[in-house]
Amino acid sequence: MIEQTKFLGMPLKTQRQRRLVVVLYYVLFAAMAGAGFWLGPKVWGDLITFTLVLGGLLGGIQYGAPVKAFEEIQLPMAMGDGTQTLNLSGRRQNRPWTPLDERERIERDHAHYTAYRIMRWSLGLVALVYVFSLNWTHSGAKWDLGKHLPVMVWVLVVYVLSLPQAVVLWTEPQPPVED
Amino acid sequence: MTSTSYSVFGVSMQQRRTRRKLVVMVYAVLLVLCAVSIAGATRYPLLYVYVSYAAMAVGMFVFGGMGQKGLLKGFENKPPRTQQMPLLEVERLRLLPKAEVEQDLSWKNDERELSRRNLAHYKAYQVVGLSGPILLVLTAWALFPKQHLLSVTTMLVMIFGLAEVLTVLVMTLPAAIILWTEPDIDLG
Repeated sequence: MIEQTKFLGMPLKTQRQRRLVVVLYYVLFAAMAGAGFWLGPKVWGDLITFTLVLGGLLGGIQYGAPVKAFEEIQLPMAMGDGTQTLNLSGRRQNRPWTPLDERERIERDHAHYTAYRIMRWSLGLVALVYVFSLNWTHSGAKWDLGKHLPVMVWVLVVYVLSLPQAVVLWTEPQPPVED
Repeated sequence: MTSTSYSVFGVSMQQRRTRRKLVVMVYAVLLVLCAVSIAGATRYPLLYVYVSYAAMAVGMFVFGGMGQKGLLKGFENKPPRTQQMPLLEVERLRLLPKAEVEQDLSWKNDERELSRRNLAHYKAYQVVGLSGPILLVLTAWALFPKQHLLSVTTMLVMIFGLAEVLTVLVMTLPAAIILWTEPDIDLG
């Protein structure tokens, strides 16, 4: 399922390197969410514009990223033969998307199962925090979470979009050391 | 499917047609509860908690998958918690060779069931993943200052409604997909 050996200059050969990429990705995501909370409506438009790009940065829902696209993406962007992809580690390449083989399908489905479980627990936690916050804040309070609803929803959307590919990168086993 | 229970309230669920009717009925009830909660959203915003409990109850006791009850085996493939035993009995069982200890493996999913489980979660994830951007668009539109088509309150109620339906789906959709697509069970 892993299609690249490098991503934005970072190697992806070992499990530790791939996990580092996942951690850095979510640190970037948290920083953008923090900027959204801090700067307010000025940046909401920019955040929303980059939702799909950020959500698919690790792959899964777009081509040319570390994790192979889970399904063929039906977009009117294919030019010539094959699917135009942007390899973030190098030159633009024409690399046709090939259907997932059995092992990749098993891996994809299992990653989604794991992602679903994580999502279910984390959404429950978020809902709990939000309900408690309603009790402690009011419309004039400095920390009224209701005012930041778009950013909270944006965080939820990017989190949901990115989770399966993060699971794939995190759990992909270490390849055997070649003699 | 669980090996110990193929019925809900005494009605056999071996036939796919019957299971599909169950899924439709359950979702009809949950949608009615969602509608009631949305209608009272401005006055009683915490009604959604009861809808969440109802969805959880469906997932745990009717459809299954979340725990040991219900039509489907637990998705996590973990053995049920054993009853409290005296310490000496626990140690005695632990020292016995495994073959001598009778084990109830009805909770365990076989390979086919595990792959069905994973595929159902993949499909359910796509539905949930699609709802997210819709929620985001609604939220952005609600707070866009120049739109006058719908009031902010109406938009926020719509967002609340969608979030509530999403909550119900997150808890029940994978199990519903399996129950909907699993072929008739032949016990004969």
